[in-house]
Amino acid sequence: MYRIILKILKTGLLTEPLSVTSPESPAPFLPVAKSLSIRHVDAGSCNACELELHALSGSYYAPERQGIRFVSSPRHADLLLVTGPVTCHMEQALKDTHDAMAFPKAVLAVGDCACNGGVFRGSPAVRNGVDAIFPGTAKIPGCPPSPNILLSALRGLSRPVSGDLPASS
Amino acid sequence: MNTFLPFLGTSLFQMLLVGLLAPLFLGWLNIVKALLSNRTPASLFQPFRDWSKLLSKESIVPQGSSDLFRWAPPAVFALLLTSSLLVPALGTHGKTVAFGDALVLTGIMALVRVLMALGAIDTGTPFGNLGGRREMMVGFLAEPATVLVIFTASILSGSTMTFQTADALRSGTLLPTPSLVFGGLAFLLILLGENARIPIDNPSTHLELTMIHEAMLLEYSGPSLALMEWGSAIKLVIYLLLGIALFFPWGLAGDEGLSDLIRAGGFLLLKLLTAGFVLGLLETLMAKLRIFRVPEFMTLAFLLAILGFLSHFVLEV
Amino acid sequence: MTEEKNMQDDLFFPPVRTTSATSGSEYLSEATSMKNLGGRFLALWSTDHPGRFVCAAFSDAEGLRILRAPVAETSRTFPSITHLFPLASRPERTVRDFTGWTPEGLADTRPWLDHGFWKNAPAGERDYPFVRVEGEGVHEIPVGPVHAGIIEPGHFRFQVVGEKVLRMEERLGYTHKGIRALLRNRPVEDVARLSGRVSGDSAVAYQWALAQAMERATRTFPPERALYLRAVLLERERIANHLGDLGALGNDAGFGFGLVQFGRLKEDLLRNNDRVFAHRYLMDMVVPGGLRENPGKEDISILLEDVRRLQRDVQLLKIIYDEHGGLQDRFSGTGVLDPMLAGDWGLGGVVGRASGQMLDLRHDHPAWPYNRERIPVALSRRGDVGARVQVRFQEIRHSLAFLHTVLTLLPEGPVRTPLRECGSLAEGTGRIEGFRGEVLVWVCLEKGNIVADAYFHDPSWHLWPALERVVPGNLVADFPLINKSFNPSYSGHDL
Repeated sequence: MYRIILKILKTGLLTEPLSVTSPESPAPFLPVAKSLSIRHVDAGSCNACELELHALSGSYYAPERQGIRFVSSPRHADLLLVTGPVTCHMEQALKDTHDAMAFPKAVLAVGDCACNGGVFRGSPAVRNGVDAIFPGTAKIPGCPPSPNILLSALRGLSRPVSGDLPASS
Repeated sequence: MNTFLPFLGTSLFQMLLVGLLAPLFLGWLNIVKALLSNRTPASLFQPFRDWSKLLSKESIVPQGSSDLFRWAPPAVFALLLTSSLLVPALGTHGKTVAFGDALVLTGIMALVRVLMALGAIDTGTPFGNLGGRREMMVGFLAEPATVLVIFTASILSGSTMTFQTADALRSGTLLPTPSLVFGGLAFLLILLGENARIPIDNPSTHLELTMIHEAMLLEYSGPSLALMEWGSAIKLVIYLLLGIALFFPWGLAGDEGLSDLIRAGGFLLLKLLTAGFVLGLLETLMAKLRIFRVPEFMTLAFLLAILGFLSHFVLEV
Repeated sequence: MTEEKNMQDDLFFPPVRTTSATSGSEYLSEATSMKNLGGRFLALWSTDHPGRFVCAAFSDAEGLRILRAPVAETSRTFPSITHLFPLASRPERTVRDFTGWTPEGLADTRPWLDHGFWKNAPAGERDYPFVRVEGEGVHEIPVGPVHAGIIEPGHFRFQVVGEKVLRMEERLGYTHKGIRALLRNRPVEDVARLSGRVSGDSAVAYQWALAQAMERATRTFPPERALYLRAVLLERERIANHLGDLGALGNDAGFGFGLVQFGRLKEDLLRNNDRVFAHRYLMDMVVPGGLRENPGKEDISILLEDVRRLQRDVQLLKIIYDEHGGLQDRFSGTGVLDPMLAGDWGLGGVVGRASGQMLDLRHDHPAWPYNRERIPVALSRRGDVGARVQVRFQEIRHSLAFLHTVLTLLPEGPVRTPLRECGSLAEGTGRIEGFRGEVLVWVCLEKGNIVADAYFHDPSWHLWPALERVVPGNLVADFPLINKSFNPSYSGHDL
């Protein structure tokens, strides 16, 4: 037990400061003030985007300090975060998850595959990105996008905004 | 009616106090856990933000569930808020509209547990069922231990009314007696079990098959979810206040003088900060028990409670 | 000159033996003798190049053996070898899904990767007939395909009594992207890029196996520095994944400290991957012919510093894990894979080694430079989650020592030779020990270095059936821990 406490103390605070410049993100579109609950669905990704999402939850990035957290149920979530090119086999599950979410809600496509199919574009087994299911979805490209990019984009989403919601809800 | 109004005033004040302490304590607990995980914590007021956001969302009722599901969150919340009147927060002499002892409190908690479990099972999903039955298993094992701990702590004052118990201990000797130490340890174990903390349950888990408490909340959304989460935070604070009243009452105000109450408020703050730190530390250092070990854990609590009870008669009388 | 010649000989040693049977019964008798001589089943796939074949890959003491059965136009059947090698069941069902050819003698008629959405395949069933358990108090818990955490999709059907699992059945295929169809008639560069994204956490293993296959098909010899650096990349990938798994295993048992510490070490490793090799997951660095970029001296010293730091930190974390009573209680005796079963099925990889199987490609049939700088095989006999944790710790230690040696002895020189042009139809296979287990890539090249067909075998084809056998008898709440200790790939499996 002492080793654990000692190691915690020696490690110190790992979280890196947020970038000062205004975060790049798809236009802020959720009327939430520093409280964003995300439900992630893997629609056929190769797992690299998932690894980056896991890294995002790590102590270097600490998304909770901005009120961003991943939740286990779509009913608790504001944002549906999709990775993968949306395989035909996952299409129904994706739609069901979106239906289970409570208004107001939005969808975000993370990674090249979710944006436009990525390297799998053109295969008859995929729908070539989230746009095929939810048109007009905001996108974060990358193969995979690094946690810094992800954090910047998500921060942008959880700022308070005035104005209406776009069509995706 | 004349005698009722001042009671109403203290009651509302007490409910408001506990209702606000709950999210603040949760925020503090999360700060402690974040710092122990070497990360910058969220704000102390994050639970307020999360719940006010939830209030602005729509509330979905799953197909196939009945009124039980819809009414469980407000019922649970109301019961928990009412039960906050049964524990002393600042002073031991205030009278509130609710009149009951620690056993009534245990009973209300049992009712809350049953309502939550029924609400979860009502949805018809396999995980609601899973969470509901696991919660009942933990609860039914914790109850005998809780009752025995209350008896142990109440022997000194001769009454199970928490206000009187706290008063008796406070004005007595400062040395902790063995029976109180055993009882206190047993109460700690019960607190961890009843409030779904590690090592019984992981409040931040994302593994649906291992969930106990979280599994019961999977189908709630919007305001219902906010009420359930707030209710769980209130339950934690009530258990802490009960533990403080039974085992660490020094600092509670005796008379109703304002300066006494403010000083009591300071002590309460200190105790809650310490409790949050200890809880956070325990959660960081321990791992979660295998589910079949949970009865062993609760049996340990029961054993400690018996030891406390017996040691009073053997060592202290 | 002799040194170079030896290296070139070693590169293609041991040779891959391919037998094209002339009839189904010949294929069956060859498979039977393979079984009698103790061969292990690896993979099975269908192809149209160079002809209509069902190819089965086996591993024996001498190396890789590929057995081919011809499939007649009229009958469209081939003999099933599942009665000899149980692991062949799902690949054969997949062949039936993709082509319509029938495995003769296979009792399981359910589709595997086909969920009933493909138009040109035999009609699959949308309601997959899971095997049910009847009895008093038995109920069913379906989980997935969407899971509560950040994880790939797959469906698990549990039949439980109380908390105890009586039976667990998987249904996969949710991440099927039609990769095999995508890579037909594509140039080598496209297929190389695609291969890194079959299973993103094993990008180096796949891209090296593909490069190996293409280099063997075209008889291209990459420079020695490239081979050493490929090993560096592979070991870094292995270490990164093991660090992630160890942290996740601690977290799944409720010990968040493990996740924080291992997560930090892994993140440092990934950031240095980005600094030195321009990609956190090392994708697209290994190309057919060598490596895409040549790291310089400062880069090498960064990598060496990584090794030193990790050696210190992982040692301390191992002590903490070993001494933590609560954690060891969760790991001990959970999810035991019987060494007898592991031996019977010929399971390799981390899971096999944790159940006493001394199978590691880097030791048994080492690719250069593993034949020069030997890596000891990590082994445990207990077969439970704790054993798989120990094997991962051991492998990290061995890999770090290997990296230290290899980085200090790194030969100078170029890192790439252009891939030679393929004159006619040529085949090649590559086998690499990825962090889960053995990755096998088979490729058939046409004139002009166009890929006619290729197959990627993920070690998860062996892990998923083993998981089904391991879970019954355990608590349903221990399933995430067991699953994580196996860490099978969904995307690599579903192709």
